Amino acid sequence: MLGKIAKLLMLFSASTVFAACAVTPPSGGQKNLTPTDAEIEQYNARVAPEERIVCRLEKPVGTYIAKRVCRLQSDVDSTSSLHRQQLRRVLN
Amino acid sequence: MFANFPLLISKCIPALIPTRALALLPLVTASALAQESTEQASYNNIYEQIRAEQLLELGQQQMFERDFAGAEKTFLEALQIAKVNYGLSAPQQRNALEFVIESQLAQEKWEQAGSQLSYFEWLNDEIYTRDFHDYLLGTEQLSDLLLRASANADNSNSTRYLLAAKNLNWRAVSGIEATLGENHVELTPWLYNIVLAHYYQISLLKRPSMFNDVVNAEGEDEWRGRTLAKGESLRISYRIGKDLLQRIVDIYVAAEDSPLESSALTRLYQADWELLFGLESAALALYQQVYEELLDLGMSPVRVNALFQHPRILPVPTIATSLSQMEIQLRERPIRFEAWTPNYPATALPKPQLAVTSETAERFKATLRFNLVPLLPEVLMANQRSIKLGFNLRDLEVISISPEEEQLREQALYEVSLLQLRPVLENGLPIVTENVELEYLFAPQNEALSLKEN
Repeated sequence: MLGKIAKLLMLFSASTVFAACAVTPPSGGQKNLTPTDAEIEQYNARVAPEERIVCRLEKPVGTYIAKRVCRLQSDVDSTSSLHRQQLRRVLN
Repeated sequence: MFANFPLLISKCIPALIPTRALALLPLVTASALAQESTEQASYNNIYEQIRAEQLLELGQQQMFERDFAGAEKTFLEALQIAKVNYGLSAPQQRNALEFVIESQLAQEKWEQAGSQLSYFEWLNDEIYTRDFHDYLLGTEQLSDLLLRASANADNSNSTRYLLAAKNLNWRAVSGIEATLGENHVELTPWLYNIVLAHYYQISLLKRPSMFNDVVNAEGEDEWRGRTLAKGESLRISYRIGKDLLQRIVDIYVAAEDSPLESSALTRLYQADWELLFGLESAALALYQQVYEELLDLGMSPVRVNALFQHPRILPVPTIATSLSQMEIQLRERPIRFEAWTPNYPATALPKPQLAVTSETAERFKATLRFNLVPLLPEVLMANQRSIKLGFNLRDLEVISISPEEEQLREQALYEVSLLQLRPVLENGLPIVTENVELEYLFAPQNEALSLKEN
């Protein structure tokens, strides 16, 4: 009986140690990894137009779960332009 | 006349003028020659400061008499004197510059006003490194001018000016954070200005056919449409306003030398914000919280109820952070609403200096009566347009209207139906309020439009 209890205690203490070693994800998840709308607006107010950033919810291919993505406005513009050019090439 | 030119220049330009001012020589000359023909005045030379003050007074008189072109010329002369006397980057130019822009806006000279606004911005940035507090004064002045430019219904760039004003306020916030700290009380009026700018921005969505012109990177094609979806734009404005109002509350919670009731009172604006976006439950919970926090501070229920005994039109243009300030704001009876501009429906004129100069001196007004019922929104108006209201206006009627016109009466009913009101609260809970009287002043440009139609 005592041996059984000792085994259980050892298992419990081992699980506690492993639990303590586990990496905890940052609190707030994705939310804390991108700036807030107010922070973006404040940043954009003091930089040149080509350095402004935009954040929006995008659904990556293969999932319906939207993800907040932040990019440079110039990057968004050039990507859109590239996509339009490609579309025109295909259609013509 | 031209033989005296070198002597004239040496008399007119003081020795201490920065070398950059020499660039003004052609302008100085032109202005000096123009002045030669004017009658003798009580100054020794045309660049004496006293003359600039006289010109400012004369210009204001011309503005009052609606001689906007004459006023612009007069103010430009005063501005020239300030440049010559104090230097090209001197803050003393700002007063004359403000009047120049006002006179140009009144004449709808958008391009010239735009150039002068850019010059004001450059001037203010120059001041930033020399005197931060003076920079803030200039920023406030420029922000007002930009809002005023954005309010003119005939200005095709009005939205751009609104965004410029908002960005300017953000830059002031960044400057205060860098100079005075991130939790300084000085931040709060600027943060609240940004919240209001977001409200003006969303009120644009109430206008029909609100489009942005978008030109692609190569400038080849022009696309006409919304840059942001209506819902997305609304959500972003809501979130930014909410964050900033929370930040204002946090600043007052941490502030040691502000009145005890400040943090509770600033929470009131959070509740108003929720109500403006149709989130009644969140708003009511916050109103209840404000009521309880004020009671916890030792205030009597009678005094707290008195703060909420009249409905208020939202958003409130200035933030009150002490009971005395709030009690002063509540003295106004009956409720008066001065519509600002057709550009921003259901928005009150924030400050007298932001009023748009109208072609007509006459002001159209109406007195209306209604019951304020805390019920769910329902279909309003005969055209079956459903308008979401924080609290329902019932039995809306026009008591009097000037001038007496059927079309104007209908317009009054429609415009008042767009208003959002903070309900009357008793013990933190909304109650039905009957026979609320509202004095409604139409936006000046609505009046001009109405006169043209007739």
